[in-house]
Amino acid sequence: MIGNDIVDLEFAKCNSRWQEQRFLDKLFNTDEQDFIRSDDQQFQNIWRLWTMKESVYKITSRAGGRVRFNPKDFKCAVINSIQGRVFYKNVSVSTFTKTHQKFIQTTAFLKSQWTSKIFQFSSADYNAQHSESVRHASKAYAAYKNVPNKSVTIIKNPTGIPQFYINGEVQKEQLSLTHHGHYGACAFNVLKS
Amino acid sequence: MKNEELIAKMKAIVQPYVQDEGAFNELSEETTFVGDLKINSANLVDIILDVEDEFDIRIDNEEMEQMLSVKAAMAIVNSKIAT
Repeated sequence: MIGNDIVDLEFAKCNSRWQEQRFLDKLFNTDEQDFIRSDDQQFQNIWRLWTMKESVYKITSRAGGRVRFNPKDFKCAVINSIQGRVFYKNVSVSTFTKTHQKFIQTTAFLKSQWTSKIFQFSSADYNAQHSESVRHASKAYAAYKNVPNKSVTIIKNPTGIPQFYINGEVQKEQLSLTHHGHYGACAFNVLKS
Repeated sequence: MKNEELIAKMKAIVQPYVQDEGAFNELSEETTFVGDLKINSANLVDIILDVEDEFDIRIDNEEMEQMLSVKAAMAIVNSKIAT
């Protein structure tokens, strides 16, 4: 099981009410807010924790459409600037965060064999970005499987989860796609052969 | 408040976050924020704060959980301003 989430930091800065206490209170528990205020990186810390929660939300839902908006049920523990854990009900999920000047991306995983790739979009249009994401993810998967790019396709199953196909045959590796602002990312399991 | 008036206000609130203009133009009570309007989930909390401000109400976490469609948002607003 894998999930990933990206936040475009420039986009988030002007497109969100992150500076308000009410914003923090709706998303973060007390100890999470303590972490957010623990240094002068409050803005980055907010989005670090947000991508942790979202990436784990994607693992726990793994289905089409948002069924619930309950960010406070996902409790974050930060281990260091990269690693973290998120507790949801009786499950605990490891997270791995990449922090860049322009974006923050977190992958949540139950098994430690996975890979992720971040890409910058050339278009601001949602649908164009979606096809760009699919193209980037297909390419990354083709490289990992050592097969031609054009043999890989990504098709959403009836519950809205994207799946890899090689020459029309569904593959076992799970895929998670995300995009926000000008950035997108994919993460998928790497199976031992 | 009349339904049409409420929908118009909801429409104005969500507009800045919409990524699917086609779905926005056809917005109805059944429209969902993430599935239909392609609103990024990072903006769901902004919509909730904007709704709170527009109607001068406060929405608690349990209500927030359900606020994923125009209909659900309208039901919550109605239950708070009807008194």
